[in-house]
Amino acid sequence: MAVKKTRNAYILLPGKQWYYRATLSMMVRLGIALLIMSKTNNPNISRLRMQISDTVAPVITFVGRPMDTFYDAGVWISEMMSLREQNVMLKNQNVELLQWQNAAKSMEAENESLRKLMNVVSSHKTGYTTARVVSDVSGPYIHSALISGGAGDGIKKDEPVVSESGLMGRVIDVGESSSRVLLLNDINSRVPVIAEHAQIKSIMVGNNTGLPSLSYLSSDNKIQIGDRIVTSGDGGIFPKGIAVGVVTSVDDGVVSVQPFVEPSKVEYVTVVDYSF
Amino acid sequence: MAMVSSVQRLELTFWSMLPAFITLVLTAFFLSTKHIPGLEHVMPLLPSIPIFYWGMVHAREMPYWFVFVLGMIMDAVMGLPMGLTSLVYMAFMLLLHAQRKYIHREGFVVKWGYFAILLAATGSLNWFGLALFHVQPEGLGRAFVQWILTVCCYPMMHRMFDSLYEFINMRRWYILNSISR
Repeated sequence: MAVKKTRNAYILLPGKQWYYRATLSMMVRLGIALLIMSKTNNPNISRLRMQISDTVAPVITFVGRPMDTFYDAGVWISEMMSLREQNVMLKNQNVELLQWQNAAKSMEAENESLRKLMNVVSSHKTGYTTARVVSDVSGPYIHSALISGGAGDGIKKDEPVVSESGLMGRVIDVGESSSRVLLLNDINSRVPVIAEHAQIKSIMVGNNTGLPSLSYLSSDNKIQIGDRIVTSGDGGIFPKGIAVGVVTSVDDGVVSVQPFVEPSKVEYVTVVDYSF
Repeated sequence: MAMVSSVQRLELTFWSMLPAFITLVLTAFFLSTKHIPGLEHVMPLLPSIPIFYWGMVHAREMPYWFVFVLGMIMDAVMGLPMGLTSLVYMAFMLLLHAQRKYIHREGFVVKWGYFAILLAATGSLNWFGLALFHVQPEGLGRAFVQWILTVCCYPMMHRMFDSLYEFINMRRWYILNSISR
């Protein structure tokens, strides 16, 4: 852009104005074209998006490292302060879990022998990929996260993403070294779920708030506050039984669910390859 | 007249690229994980502050193409419709440059006020753009909080950029004077 310095500001030289205007007009046209292509779900747009994400993900990780260090230091300090109580709690939990382990082992053996007896063919095999959350850009309108694994790591579109607390979302775009995860509370998110206690199936719908709601429920449903919500396995995207959240309110037939996963606190996630 | 040395040329290039570099770093920080629950919904729009400041005081160092690319990066990482933020930033720059001659001469409060107005106007544009892609655009309350926080962040960053601009000008003056001597 050719410029000439004046007393108060820089102004364009008249001879170069056509070039400046042409560039500006070209960029506006390009922006509108990209917008239209996004609206029509053009596959090239998805490819472009993931190529840009692949390129900038390492930069974002690098710039975000000080925040990660602060967060880790905070976690370390709080853990150190409650070390004794945690030790007692973990010892008790360990005793309890050993009992559950024994029960699970005997059930696994029983399950295996029954499967053999009935000649059941396993319907699917499951694989896991662990990835780091690069960016949790949940703005006022959109709720998604960028993770550090992509097609090169075996991640595929529509695979469920879980953290240690439960379901976080599903992969919607896959690049070579990064992927985009649609979070449960995004307005475009739909997850087939079942209320564990009431055994009622429904679809959990995101609404851009922290509390997604359950839809397609009959008016006389018996869902209560505190009911645990897990994936139902319907639709074939999410495996059955992944913990999703807990019912926090039942108001005029509107059932709100508090997801177990708080995306801003998650550092690492697991992408589940649930192949039928 | 003495020739400009390669080191001086490198330094001049560095100073002219610094505003764009700062904007890129702020964008990367804006997009990174902050680990503070709830902040991600209302995180101040940090990239818009250097775009406004450098677009106003030194437009040559905040060119349209750079702002367009920045918008594309944000769209790609945030999962927004591609081209939306680029167009919003282009509108932001056009509105800024339309009043730049007058705003540039005014005091800090007028600049701050104009920044708040521009941010609100382009924020509304962004909202309408998203409404084309979402059946029920929501989160207006959060967008309002984000706007307030961004406007509140402006004075501190304006002061920082003012100091930096003075320093850059001083270095440039020194280099160019040493050449002409």
